Amino acid sequence: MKRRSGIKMLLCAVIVISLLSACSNSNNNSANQSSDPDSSSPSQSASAPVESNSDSVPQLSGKLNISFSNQSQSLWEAVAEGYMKKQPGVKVTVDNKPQKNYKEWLTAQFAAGTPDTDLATVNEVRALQQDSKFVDLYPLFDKLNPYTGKAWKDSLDLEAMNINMDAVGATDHLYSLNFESLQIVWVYNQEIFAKVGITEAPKTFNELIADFTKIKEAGYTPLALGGDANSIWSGKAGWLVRIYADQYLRDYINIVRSQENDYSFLPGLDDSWKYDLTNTYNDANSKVTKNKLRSWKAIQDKEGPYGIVDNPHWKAYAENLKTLFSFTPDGFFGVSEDQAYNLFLSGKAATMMGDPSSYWQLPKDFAEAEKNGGNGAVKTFDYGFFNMPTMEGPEVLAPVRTIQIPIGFYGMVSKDAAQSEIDADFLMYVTSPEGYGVYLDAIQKSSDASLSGAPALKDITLPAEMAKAFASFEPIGNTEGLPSAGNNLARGLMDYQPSVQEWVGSAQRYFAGMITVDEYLNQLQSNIDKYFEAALKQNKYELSDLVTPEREPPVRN
Amino acid sequence: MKKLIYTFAIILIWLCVTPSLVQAKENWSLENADSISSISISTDGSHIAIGSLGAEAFLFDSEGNEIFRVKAMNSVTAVKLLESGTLLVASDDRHLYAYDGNGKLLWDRNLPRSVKDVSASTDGSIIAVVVQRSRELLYINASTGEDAGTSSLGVTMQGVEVSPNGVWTAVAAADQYVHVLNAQGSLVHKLAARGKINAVSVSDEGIVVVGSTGFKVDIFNKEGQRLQELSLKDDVMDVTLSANGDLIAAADYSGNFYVFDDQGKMLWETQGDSAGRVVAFNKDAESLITGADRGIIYQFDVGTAVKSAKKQALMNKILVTAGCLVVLAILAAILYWMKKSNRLGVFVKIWRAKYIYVCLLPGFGLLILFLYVPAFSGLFHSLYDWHPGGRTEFIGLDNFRRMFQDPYVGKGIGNLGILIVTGLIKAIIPPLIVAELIYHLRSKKLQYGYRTAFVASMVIPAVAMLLIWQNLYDPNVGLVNNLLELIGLGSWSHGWLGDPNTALWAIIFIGFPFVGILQLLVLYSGLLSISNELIEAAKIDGATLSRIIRSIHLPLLSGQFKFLIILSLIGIIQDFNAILIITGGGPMDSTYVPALQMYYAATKFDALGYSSALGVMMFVVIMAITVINMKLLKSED
Repeated sequence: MKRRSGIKMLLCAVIVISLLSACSNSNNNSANQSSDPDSSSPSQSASAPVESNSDSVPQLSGKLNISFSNQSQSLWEAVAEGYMKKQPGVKVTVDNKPQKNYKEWLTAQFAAGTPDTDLATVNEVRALQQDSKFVDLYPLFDKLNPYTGKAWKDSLDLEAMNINMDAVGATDHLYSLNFESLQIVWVYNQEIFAKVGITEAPKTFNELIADFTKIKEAGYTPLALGGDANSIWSGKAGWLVRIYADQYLRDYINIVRSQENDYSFLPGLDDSWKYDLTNTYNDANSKVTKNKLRSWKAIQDKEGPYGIVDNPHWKAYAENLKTLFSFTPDGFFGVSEDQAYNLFLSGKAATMMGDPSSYWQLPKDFAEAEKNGGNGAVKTFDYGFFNMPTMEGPEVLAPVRTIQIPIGFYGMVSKDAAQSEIDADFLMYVTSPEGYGVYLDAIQKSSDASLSGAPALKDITLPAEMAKAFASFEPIGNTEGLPSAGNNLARGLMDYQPSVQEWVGSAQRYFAGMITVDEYLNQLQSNIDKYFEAALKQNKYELSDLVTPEREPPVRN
Repeated sequence: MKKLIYTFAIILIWLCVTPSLVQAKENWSLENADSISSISISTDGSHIAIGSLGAEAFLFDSEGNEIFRVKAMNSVTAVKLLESGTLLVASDDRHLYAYDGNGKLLWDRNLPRSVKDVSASTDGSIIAVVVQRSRELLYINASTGEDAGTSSLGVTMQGVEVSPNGVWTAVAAADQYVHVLNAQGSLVHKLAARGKINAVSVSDEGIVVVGSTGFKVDIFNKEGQRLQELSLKDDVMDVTLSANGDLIAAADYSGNFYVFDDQGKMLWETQGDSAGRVVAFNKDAESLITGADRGIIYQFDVGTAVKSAKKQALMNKILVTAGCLVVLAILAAILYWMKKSNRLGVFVKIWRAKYIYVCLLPGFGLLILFLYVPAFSGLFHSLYDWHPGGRTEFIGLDNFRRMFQDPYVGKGIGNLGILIVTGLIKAIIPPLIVAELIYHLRSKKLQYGYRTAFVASMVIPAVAMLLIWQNLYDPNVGLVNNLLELIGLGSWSHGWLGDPNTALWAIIFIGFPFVGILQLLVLYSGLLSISNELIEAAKIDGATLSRIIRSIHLPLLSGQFKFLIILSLIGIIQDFNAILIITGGGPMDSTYVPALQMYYAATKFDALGYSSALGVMMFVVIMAITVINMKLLKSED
């Protein structure tokens, strides 16, 4: 009897333990180990030398979990391998995720506590950035990069990154590292262009529209673009919406630039700056500092380009944009980005928005389609690139620019000092000639990764073919990262998602011809007014801050 | 027993009517109600300097009477009172000012950037200044304002604190380390913080207190070893140490102010009206001055406050003990009643089945943990502006109000109505037809074969099926349009998902011919359970097949219908996968449903409280429909 009850007890214990063990967080052991500041001496933390290496790189110990969005797993595993050779005490785990639902995944990770991942892609999680869930990189740029032997910032091409370290204020933060440049350009099917008799790539918007008309008449889709609710804001259509708004609203800089008594004013820079629309980099961060509060105040006051209704610039811009979008695929508002790309790849569409990475990615995709047996749907064709054709007209203030920024959006999840040190060390390695060499080599071997453009890194030598290809993309100025009316208002208010949600429906109705341009602009202005205070609050500002925009608001959490 | 209850009630009433024992000795506000950036108290406690983001610095006496105020051209970031009566004022206007005790400007030092912090020993022998973006700590001569040297840290700094005796300087660096320097400006050690450093303080003995993100305060001894880890209720805004390091005060963003002893024991806590910004002790830590948003300054007598807090703690202990006693008494009373009414046998029964209960325990535990806790959490948080891991504020019914003003919820309810009607039709009629067809097959083998063939389709993942249908609807290369062109109906080809008039119907059509496997099996098994005698009797009476179905099958399947209708309703109201994947709510907002808005609120809008409220509302609707359904479709069983 006793034996029986003993067996019963054992059975019960096994069931209880095995069920409860499913709930245990065994994976956290390592995280705890590395995130516990007590596990280290105060002065050296978890970065205490484990064993002296042959070179002068200080040795760290701990773990590093990487989960980037839409990045090649094999590429980052190769980089991790290279890093672990330099830092044998650090175990790097790469677990990249697909872009779809990455934002939701990362948000859920934070909602559940501190995420396991240490490095993440952060461009889609603006709210988390505002809640300081990531490490500010500006201060780290001043630190010594042990893989180059100089300050980290000295091996970064800060101008290409649109960063002016001198103008960084106490409340300015940089939560993502972007070291691969991207210039938005048009990619076109040369064979279709030749077939309809177009011999030269368009330089102006009117030429583009004339070409598109010919292409459409020949039975092709002129522009492969995703226009469904998931794509129109975050996808390539959203790029066009912002890029062309910039041409009409360039005078924003006179409103938002730092004034002499502003907390953000930088003597020696701001006092010598001159408004010059002929210079496409006139409002770059390296040329002039901006006061974010002045931009918010301008939106509140509907000042100059920040006022939308009855503004002829906004109206002319919106009308031209609608003309452009009329050359998109049939059923545009139900076409996803993938479907649009397939249209171009299968030779049914003449152009698409892209970047220099298409130079290498298209041949890979042609080969992939051939290997997978696309039943002849995909045939290799000659393709080329051209820059943004510029819009013209009395309301246009300046020639067109493009989005020309380094991308990557690699962010360090805010944890303890020791973990941050490992995270930063890894990123320093990747941006060093040695680490980037590994990265570059892995890209060339990879079937699912390619360079988007020349790296925004110094001391890097690209293979001759790559360097030549990138050199052929003529820079025409950059609109990205500026607090301009185009960036802040053209797709809803400041990427504030409830406002974006409303804009998506409104924009689709306008492009579909269901509402007039005036109705569209009225709806956009109402949308901005409606969400202004909530968006302001999400950005940690209050209405009272706008009364004295020259003063830096107090820290708010 | 009665006496005990009376005693407890009296204690409770006494505690309720007794006012808060912790009260500010003094409080006053700055005129312009701007946030306070810094406080400095003279060594004798007779003067209090206040820096304000309203571009002014004030000097008050200990009673809160203003002695003078000085203006800067931008926010005052820090103030420091020296033993000599000199007031140092740092400002975002890129100046560091020194005033004498009467407010007369002694010197004005122009610096290249905003002056973010200034701290000094009481005698002014060490004045350390943090300039924006500088990686060098700047030392200033107190009498001239000229440079007295620098200490290079190699990293940008956020703040600095010099111990009153000038022996130690703690610099909060942006790389999450506190650099502790000696009087010569040499690095003694670096202290690792547990997050971004918000505040730092150092005592004459070299004890360092660091406030960092994650509501943490850490105490380090002069050797740099971590002594204590304290937790606050919100983000740390400021920390300060008494000169001898015995007491630690802190302020958090929710407006709580705390005093701890050097062992980390909380001695006192109170809450102000707005975000706490700064805390400062006078020399002997007799007095604590706190500054908050809206320019509110509180002055506390530390001794009285601590004594009061001790009293309060004692009262709390009594209350808890009394509560425990009452619970025990109630339990005893219940047991006594059970014994009297001879009901104690239930415990014997439980003991006999102890292994069964133990085996059930994990199952129930997991059920509670993963189903009931999240559900109740949603219910609870629907009343909050909920930010897990961040600040959560009670906002009453605001989330529910927002729901009624949300146009996407309104549109969604209309679409949901269409989806419910079509969904119920899809869930009942095609599976019923197929079940009847299989049931009426003569060959058992064929019945089995068809049943298996239908069930086998379950292996296709739902998401894969959705993506296949999305491609079928592709307006340019999709099969649907190509098929229409093939059969000569090219004029009907359409951007099915791009037209607001057809998008919802295109989604409804997904899964054609709508033979749900679960539904099919439920109805088929229902048909099998109908007695053959009934059918035979009906046939003898001359009933046709349609009459048999109408008068025998359908009534006897009412239980199955009820089950399927409830299940389908719940599924339709909760499901938004197809819409999320295929249209995302578009085009032109034509395919929104409330569940999709709930998902977007949680994942895109960072509004988890609102999302919870939508979830609660959906629960209420499902519950109501289920109850109505149960009442209307009463089975005869």
